[in-house]
Amino acid sequence: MAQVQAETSLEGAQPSLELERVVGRSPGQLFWERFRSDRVAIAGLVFIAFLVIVALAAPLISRYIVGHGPNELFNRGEESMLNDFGLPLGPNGDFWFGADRAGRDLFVRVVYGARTSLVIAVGATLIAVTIGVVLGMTAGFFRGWADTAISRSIDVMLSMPLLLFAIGIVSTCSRAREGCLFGVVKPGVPVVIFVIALFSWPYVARLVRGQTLSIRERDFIEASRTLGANNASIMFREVLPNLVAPIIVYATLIIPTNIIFAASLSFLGLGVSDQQPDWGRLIAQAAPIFEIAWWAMFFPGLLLFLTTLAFNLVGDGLRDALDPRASTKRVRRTAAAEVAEPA
Amino acid sequence: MTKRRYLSITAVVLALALVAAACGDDDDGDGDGGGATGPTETTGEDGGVTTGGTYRIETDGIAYTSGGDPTGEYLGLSFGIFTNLLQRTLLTYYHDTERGNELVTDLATDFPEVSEDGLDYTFHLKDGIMFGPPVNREITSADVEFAFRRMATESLVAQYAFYYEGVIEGLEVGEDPGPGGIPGIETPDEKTVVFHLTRPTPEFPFLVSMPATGPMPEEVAGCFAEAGEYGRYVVSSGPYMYEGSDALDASDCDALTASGPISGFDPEDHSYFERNTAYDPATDSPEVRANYVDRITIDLNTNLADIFDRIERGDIDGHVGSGNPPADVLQRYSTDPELEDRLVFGQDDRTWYITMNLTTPPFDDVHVRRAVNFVMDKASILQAWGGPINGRVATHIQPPALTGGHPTEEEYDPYPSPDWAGDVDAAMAEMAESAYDTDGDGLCDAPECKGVVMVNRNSSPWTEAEPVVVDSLAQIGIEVDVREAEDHYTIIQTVSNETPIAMNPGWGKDFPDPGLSFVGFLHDGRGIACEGNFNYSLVGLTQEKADECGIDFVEVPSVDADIDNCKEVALEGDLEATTQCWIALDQKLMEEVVPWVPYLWPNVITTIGPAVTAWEFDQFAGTTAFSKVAVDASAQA
Repeated sequence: MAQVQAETSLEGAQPSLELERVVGRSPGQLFWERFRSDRVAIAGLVFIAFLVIVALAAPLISRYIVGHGPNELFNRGEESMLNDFGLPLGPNGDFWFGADRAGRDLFVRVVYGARTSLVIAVGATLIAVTIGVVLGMTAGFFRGWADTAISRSIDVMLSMPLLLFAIGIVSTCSRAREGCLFGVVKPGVPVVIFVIALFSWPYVARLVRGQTLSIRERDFIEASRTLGANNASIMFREVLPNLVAPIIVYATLIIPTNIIFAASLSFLGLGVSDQQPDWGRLIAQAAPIFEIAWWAMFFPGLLLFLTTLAFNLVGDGLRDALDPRASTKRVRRTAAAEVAEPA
Repeated sequence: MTKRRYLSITAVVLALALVAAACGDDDDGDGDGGGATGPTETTGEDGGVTTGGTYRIETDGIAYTSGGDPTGEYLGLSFGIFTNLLQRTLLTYYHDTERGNELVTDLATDFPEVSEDGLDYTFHLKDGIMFGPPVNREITSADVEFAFRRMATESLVAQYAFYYEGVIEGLEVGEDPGPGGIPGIETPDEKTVVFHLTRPTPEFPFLVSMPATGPMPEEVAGCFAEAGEYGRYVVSSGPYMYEGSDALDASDCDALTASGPISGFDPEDHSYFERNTAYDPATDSPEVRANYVDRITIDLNTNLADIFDRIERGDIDGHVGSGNPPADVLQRYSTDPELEDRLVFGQDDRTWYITMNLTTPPFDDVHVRRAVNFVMDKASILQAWGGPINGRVATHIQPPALTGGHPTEEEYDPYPSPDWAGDVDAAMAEMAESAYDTDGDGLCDAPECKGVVMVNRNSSPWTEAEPVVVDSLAQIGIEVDVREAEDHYTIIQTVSNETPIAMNPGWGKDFPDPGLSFVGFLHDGRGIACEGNFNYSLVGLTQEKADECGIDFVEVPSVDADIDNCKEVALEGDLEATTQCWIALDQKLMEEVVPWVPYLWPNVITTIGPAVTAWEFDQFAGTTAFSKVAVDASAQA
């Protein structure tokens, strides 16, 4: 232990010697330096960037590279990708991922599926975060009846059986063309985003409320109040910037959850239509023919797996980089140091 | 009334005495429900077919509409189970492919005596037909009447009471009318039933062959006032009964429910049948029911792939349930010479179709409906269903089998296209005549053509066929927004939902009348119901009906007069002329009214285990003929 302490004190001494250089690094630079050193997170980020590019370029890929549309049928004749029993054929030179049960190019559908997944997950996350931050900050900052009302609403939301309600809402809102809530929630992608956001905001709100509660007791808040800052100014200039790190980390971590949730809904046949390719639905359609058409489940499953993994890795990396004190690596390092100590 | 009841109690006592005597005569003494009747000895040869043993079936789920109560069961599989095994009706069918749609006497000694004016039907019951345990008494005319009383009892939800209401004098669905309460049903003695009809009804013999009209003992069935309750107490009048039926105590309702339900039947889990000890094969014909096996077991197995694996290995003998085997199973059996013989077929009297609502845009325009018929790629739909093994492309409403095998898809196709793959040019030419094609280029381009709601099932093979239908419609500019739903039928059966187009429905005949269970029933404007409607296209909608159902009235074609005309022809008794009349109506509907895009006349396919020595398709029920299956017990795994 003495050794460790010595090292620490030595490190602690350094800033006084090279004060200029240390002060010159902004929090952004500090973050980037830490994040960059996390190779796994960088790999995740590269994959996500690749996925976003592929998703954006889906129509171009489909038209110019593969030459098949996402809903183009190859079910009869010489080009048929279905056999005499209506079963799909596997990967070949023209159909890199093989065909789905309707004789469509699975590669193109998987590529388009990335669009659906990203739009839903990012859209729902943005909405959930916005609602969660507003309500969480309000509850944590003002406390009193606002806190009671919001916190109890959060409790109520969290106690709801998520999947059952989601299934109920999605199927109800998918009935009529105008959707539900007086046409605000339309069938298809909008209703899925709505449902996911509806059940995600309480987690964000609870997190933000807790953080706000602790921040508002800090000295700098007291200081700005003494200087005459009003509530709005304190909330937006003092509290919110301090919430950015946990919000970014949490948002990155709920994106993969939301991707899985959206895929689960479409696996159950809810949400997006068959015309809009979606990984969950592709996997559901592949399940009955898994034994004879492995590709139909393998490729969308692989993409779903890689995407959620990438977001999780990036989320972990962000947490480590933004909040070093909570870093799992740091803890491990310290533990290692302690174990090494007797030697 | 009291006197009547007294008489019937006497009848019960007498009948019980007779049962005792009969059992004494027949019983070989092997006891244990093994069957006093039929060829029950151990497995042996009987004209090439082995008898005895257990026919083991697994199901991925039997859809019961009323928990197994014959009054409320309305699906082919239950029809098959009841008419083969548990219920004898005044008339019935030969349970096979060849004569499966042909009527034959069952409870009745002969076909009915019909009065000159065609309004009175008299049936005489055979002697010696008994209810199985726990009732064990001879069946009387009152038991037949009671079946109709149950049908008239609203709380029991008789699914097809509409066939009888308004036909049998005074039969109205409401409270239980009580003995003698239906003026149109008379039971002058224990063996005679007379029906008085309000109008000549040539299809009446078919109506008294439906399972809901089979005799039911009031002392048991009368204990249950709600739909679905009697299912687990069903007393058999057929060659088999549920195992454990003899453990019921039918002395009164309390004792009955205390001793039940029957162990051999749980609609959510299993159905076990054994020979009905009170059944006398002398009252039946082996051509109708052969009753080869001693037991039939149906167990639930939610893993469909596993069921077919087990059949292949010989662990079980057959499957009933949701539909045909999955495509990979069909492929394996069709391509493996050793398995080929174990793939068995029947041709279902059914049409799968797309329905278009005559009152909603853009399908309120006949040109659009014709264009949809032209453009539809039926060959690809068939491919999505699993290829030609699954049936034939349908080109008109009524399956040809119901009208003597004609016209086939080759003989009559009002919207022809090469290989049934759709004719886009003809479709666009037709569309160009529609007001929804504003610039006459053959594409539906009015705002009504976009986001058209189409209802579909959320299950295979409909989800596989969906892209084909969507793609075909898109070729004439109709962009649909598909709603896949679990309760797809409820959605389209509710008129106020105004579903524009739906690809979920199929219609199978209820009884093999040319016309009356198809074109003449499905498109009768007078039959439109605001809820539970079958005329999804609303052919023959009237102002009053539109108001009643809360939708805007739109002038639509009607074929009510044509239906009445064919019924008139039917009354004259010339079957050929009647058939031709219905065929003409089918064609008028296809060409002038165009409510449907029929696309498939399906096959019923299943696989059988290696121990099966006889299997028949029941044409009436469209399922396995349970009374004509046999196994070689020594070959069973």
